[in-house]
Amino acid sequence: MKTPFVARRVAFGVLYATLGAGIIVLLAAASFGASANITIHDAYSRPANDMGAVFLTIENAGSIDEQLDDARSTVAGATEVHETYTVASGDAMRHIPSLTIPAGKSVTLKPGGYHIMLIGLKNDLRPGDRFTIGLHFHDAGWIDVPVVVRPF
Amino acid sequence: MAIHLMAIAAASAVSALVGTAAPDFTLTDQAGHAFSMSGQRGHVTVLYFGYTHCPDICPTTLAEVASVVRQLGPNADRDVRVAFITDDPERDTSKTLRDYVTLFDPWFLGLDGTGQELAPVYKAYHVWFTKLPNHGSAAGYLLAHSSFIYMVGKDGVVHYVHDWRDDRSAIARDLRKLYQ
Repeated sequence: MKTPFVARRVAFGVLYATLGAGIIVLLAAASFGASANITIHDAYSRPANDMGAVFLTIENAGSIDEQLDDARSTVAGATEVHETYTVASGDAMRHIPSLTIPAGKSVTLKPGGYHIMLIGLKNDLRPGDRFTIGLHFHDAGWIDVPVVVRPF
Repeated sequence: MAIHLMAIAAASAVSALVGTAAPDFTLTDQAGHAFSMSGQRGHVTVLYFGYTHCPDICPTTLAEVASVVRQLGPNADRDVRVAFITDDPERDTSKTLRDYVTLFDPWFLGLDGTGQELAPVYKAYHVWFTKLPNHGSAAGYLLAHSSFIYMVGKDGVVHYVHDWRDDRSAIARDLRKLYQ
């Protein structure tokens, strides 16, 4: 029980970039989980009863950068793109109006980084539940993304 | 920048707790029972400060703690006292805390108190948090907050303080040392 562990850094919750608040009406989507150049996979959420988060990977097979600039769902009062950042990493905070998916690259939204935040869930999310969110890209438009709730 | 510097100050201050008796306090758990730190002698106790509106770090950390605790043994989640202490008494209630902590483990405790009761606890544990400006988010205000996992041994001493980003194996290893 020796060797005291010294905390190295302060990570801290939160967030930010509000890319659009609760649009609940689902419009016709280009296709399910994919458009010409954008593919979204491994979308999952976690058990939650008020605030939830969706994590996923966005792949841009195109030759130009794409921007994720809005999100929506019917499961929560509002659906927003957020970022968690680390305070002690050296940078000051910055407000990001949209998330860039570079041409030919993938961006993974994962715990401790970017996530789609579900604010004011209408029902609890339980393991195995499935729902759909919409992500809007500057060029590709709205893409529907199936999400599964994984246990912690 | 100010937030950055305050966070660094919190990180260095919290390490001074290691090897000292866990500062005592009495707060109220989600069932309305008093929870005092000095009353936990004989049990490994894990403390984590956060808020139930936390979208990412708090659930990630609590899920990790739950997983690590359950790996210790069949009744470990009952033996190890895991207490989530709110940084947000303004919005968190015993009900929201109960609903929240039990997502992770039925034995987890959510501790609340009045602002006056909580302030000295934050100070003693070098908990740092600040409300962030709301850039139009429907979430209301969010908090920037320190995110330490305090591990207190059966002897009532703070033996380890981990950052939530620390390697799961390191967190598991240290908790196991205290639990054995």
